[in-house]
Amino acid sequence: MSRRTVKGLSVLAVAAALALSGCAVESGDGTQADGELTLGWLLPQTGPISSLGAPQIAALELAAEDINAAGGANGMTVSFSGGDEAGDPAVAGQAVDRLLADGVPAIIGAGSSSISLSVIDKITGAQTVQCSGMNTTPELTDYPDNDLYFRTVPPDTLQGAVLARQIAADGATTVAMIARSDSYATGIANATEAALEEEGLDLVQRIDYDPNAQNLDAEVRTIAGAAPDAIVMFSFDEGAKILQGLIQNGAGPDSTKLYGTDAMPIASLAESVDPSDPGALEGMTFTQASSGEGTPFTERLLEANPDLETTAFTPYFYDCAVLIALAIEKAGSADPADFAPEIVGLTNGDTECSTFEECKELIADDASISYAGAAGILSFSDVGEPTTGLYDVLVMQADGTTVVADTVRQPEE
Amino acid sequence: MTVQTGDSTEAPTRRFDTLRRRRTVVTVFTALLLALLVVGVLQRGVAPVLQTVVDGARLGLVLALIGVGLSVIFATTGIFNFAQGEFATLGAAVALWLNVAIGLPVVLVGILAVAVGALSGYASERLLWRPLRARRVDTTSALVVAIGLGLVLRHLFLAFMGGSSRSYNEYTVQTQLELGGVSITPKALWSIVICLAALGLLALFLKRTRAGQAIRAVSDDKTLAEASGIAVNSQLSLVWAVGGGLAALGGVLLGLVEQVRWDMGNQVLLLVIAGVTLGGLGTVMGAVVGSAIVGIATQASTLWIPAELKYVTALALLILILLIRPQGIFGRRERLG
Repeated sequence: MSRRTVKGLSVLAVAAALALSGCAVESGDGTQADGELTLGWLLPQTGPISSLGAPQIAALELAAEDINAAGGANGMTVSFSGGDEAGDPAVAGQAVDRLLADGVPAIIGAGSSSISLSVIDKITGAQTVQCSGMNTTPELTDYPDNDLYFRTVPPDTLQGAVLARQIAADGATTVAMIARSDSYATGIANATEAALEEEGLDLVQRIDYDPNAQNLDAEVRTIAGAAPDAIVMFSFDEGAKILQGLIQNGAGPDSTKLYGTDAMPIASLAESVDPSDPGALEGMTFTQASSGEGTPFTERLLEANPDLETTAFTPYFYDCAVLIALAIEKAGSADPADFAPEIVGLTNGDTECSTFEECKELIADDASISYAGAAGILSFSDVGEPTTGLYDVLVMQADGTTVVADTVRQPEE
Repeated sequence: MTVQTGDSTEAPTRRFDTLRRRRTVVTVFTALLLALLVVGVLQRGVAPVLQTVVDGARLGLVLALIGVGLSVIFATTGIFNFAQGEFATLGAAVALWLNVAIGLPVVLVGILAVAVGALSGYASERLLWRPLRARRVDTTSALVVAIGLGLVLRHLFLAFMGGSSRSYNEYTVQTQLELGGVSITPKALWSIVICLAALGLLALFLKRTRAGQAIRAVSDDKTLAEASGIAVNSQLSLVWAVGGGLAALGGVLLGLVEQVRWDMGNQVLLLVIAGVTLGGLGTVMGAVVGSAIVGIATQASTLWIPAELKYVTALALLILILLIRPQGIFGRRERLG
């Protein structure tokens, strides 16, 4: 073959390849193949909240199983494809680009409020639904999202009130606060500060630290030096380092009441802080978004996945998946423009239902439903977030495990 | 590396002026720092200021340990080793694994970690830098290779260790000692002592031993050193081994007082670079003084400004010093010693 022929053929081959790959580009309705629906997720497989990632992914897989067992969403088999948010907006952004290029109609995630804020414009701008089971920053309530962003976990204005009430009930009068300088922690810290003021408690010191700081000696010493009755922490896994510092500076659980939230890896926290003393954090109190009411979801999840270290937020992510599937069922279409407007209504109807199968049958009968699934009553507001929240108050025991001391609903009934 | 156009041909008066100018800069600078500390003492009392100085000194000495290797490597090879933080992480990670998975005591794993660090430094020289030198790769490309090496190592650590922070089994939470109004944990005190000892040994090694003097000769003028019969390649292997070993020790100490993470070395790298650059690249004294200043400035600044801005002080100091004196406080072109 002459050189020109070879050149011509190769140009033709490249053009053909490009054309064929063009055919493979998905249209925006997410049906990659007939009868199959792929939904996306963006969860923390690595990064400062990576201990929470694997259980949340397991929850989504369980949701897919339940949905498919009941005949799928709008007749389509649901499966998940996901990306790592990695605690880094740049990496999360790339993962989102890939998922959007695959044409998913919805992305469930992210875990971290800051990451969600960094990708929400990209996702909602691509007319794709985003639903998170863990974003609690109040910043996302009024965020302009084309009515495409939802969350099944209530904003921290509610958790802040619960925390403040617990601190007051435990008898503290002076409080110090140490918070990560990011959307999640600043949001809940502000909410808690406002709630503490309402309870009449005195906030003597508040420090917002750099999440990337290697060394937090100065911050810890300042907090310990204020000698408060109670110290509240809003951290991710660097909380272990802060706790070590507090204990060493005489502000440990035996002299000060310590409080934290479920953003810390609670299950392994005692071991992280002091591997040789499981009771190092005995008495420390945490508040977490509860998995109490509704179906005994966490037990079912642990049965299917016995190796999970934690079940934090798993019911909320499960509910995200089921809610999206129900909306697709109700709208009869997997196009976000069709099913997104249905979501809020599905949580505020007349007939309560708690599983995908139950709700699907009611929808088929044209009933107006109120989905109250793994995480209980959702009762979405117009902006697509719960107006009521259920919180567990956990207390750390002498063996490094936690026990649910109380479960409270906010606003109080 | 540029050939030194002999100081000896300079007029003696010019060299005296340079020396006098440097002495003035150092004196003025030290006076300023002392004045700031005095103001701090008057405003807050001796104890808080002394506390931040001690905390800062501990941090600074660990930074110096990690950075002195970087400094020496730069002086002898012209390569700015952006993967130096990863040698520190390697030390900490190996120590963690030996301590937690195998159960060896921390003191022993520290020694083993240094050996591993030294071996890795040596290996990187033989497998990576020497072939690059043989191909006459220029320093900018070598820099990019160093950055790439750092990225690769960091993500290997992530893959093996996972994303969370961990502590050793011993010496985790200790009660603080009260020494003259300053609270310090025994492990932090040990960290200061070990750092000083290691850096002192390094200084002695470079000044007194034949190998040390050979290294200084290589950094001054590689061609001349080669002509005098010094085996440059083996000296460079030694430099990389020492740099790797010291960084590993720094990493172990850092992990002892803080926690061990896959990117802990990279998190401190900026401060390390700031410290050695401020003090003057190529000198051990520069690495120690510069890092100590960075460490103390970081901690002491929290007395007046919000803790979120503590690194701003250290880095602002770096910019200021480099504006006045681009080679750093003790830097003298490309001289080692």
